[in-house]
Amino acid sequence: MDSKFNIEEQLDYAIIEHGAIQHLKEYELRKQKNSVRRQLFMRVASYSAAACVVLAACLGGKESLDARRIGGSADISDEAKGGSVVVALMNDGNNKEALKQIKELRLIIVEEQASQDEWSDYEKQELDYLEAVCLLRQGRFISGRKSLKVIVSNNGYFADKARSLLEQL
Amino acid sequence: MTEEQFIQGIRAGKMRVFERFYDEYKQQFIAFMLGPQNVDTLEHAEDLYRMACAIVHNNIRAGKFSEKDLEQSTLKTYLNQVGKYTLWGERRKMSPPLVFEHERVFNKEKFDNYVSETDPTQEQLLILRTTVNSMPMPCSKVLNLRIFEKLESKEIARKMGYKNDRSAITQVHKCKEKLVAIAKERLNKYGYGF
Repeated sequence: MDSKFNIEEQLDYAIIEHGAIQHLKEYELRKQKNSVRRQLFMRVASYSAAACVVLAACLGGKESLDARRIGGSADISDEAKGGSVVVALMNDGNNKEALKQIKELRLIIVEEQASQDEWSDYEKQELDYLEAVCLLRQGRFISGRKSLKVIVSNNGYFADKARSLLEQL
Repeated sequence: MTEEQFIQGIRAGKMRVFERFYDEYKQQFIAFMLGPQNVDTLEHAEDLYRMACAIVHNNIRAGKFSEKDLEQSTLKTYLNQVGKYTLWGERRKMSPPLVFEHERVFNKEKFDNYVSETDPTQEQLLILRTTVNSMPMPCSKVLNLRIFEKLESKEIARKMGYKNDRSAITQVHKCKEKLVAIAKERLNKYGYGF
């Protein structure tokens, strides 16, 4: 039985078909490998992120303890003019209430400043210093340090005390 | 990508387009095979999908399915239909044709009993496929680069480590001759005169 089809042409088609199937198999393998690689990367990345969180928590914990210790040792006995109520609260360990009191005293300053100028610069700066110490005693390392830096840069009555605390932090 | 872009890309031999085409229709094809066509395993459905993609790819490259055929059926329907016939053929130990006209895939009668002097018979198709699949290295690689990937002789020489493009041309020619000779020998053995 004689065959009439073009053998070369049909073989070309068979080669293309075979090539296409092989190509798709390789493509699937490539995709699987990439997927495994991606999963591995995600795993390593998530472990690294978790390690960073733990490290940050440890460091944050240590900083918070340092802040409490240094804030606790800060001398506030002389600062009892405008902020006597605040100092009393701080000595009782009621730092939250002390911060609230500082806020209220600042509002009074704003209201009365224009008319009476009752509040001296010393008293205003005293409140700033007490606030910084209060924050440290609460374990708020970053906020406390920031407040102390502002006091030092203003170079006012409490700059030396603030600098001394900053050096300890 | 649009269906027209898939056709144009595949016809131009762009492998990335073929890969995107493969990803685009895979899920729905597998669902069609595992559902209405009762294919028993996912692996079998995936094999059928690769085969259907290869057949559609071949038909597009051979100009048997083009943009104008999209007026009659979408690429998705065409692919599903090719997959369905491949499965039926497989169940009756039949090998699908290497290339065929678009309308043939929508006419079961024509698809099953197509007898033409210019088309290989079932047995001949099997012989041709087996001959190509069993082609040893380096001929399998060289012919794949030239015919499937449509690479220039220079690129084939670089990939195969030949001295120059002349060597690549000679190698392609020799391999093609060898393949045709083996195929003819096998066809003759089964009583088909060549």
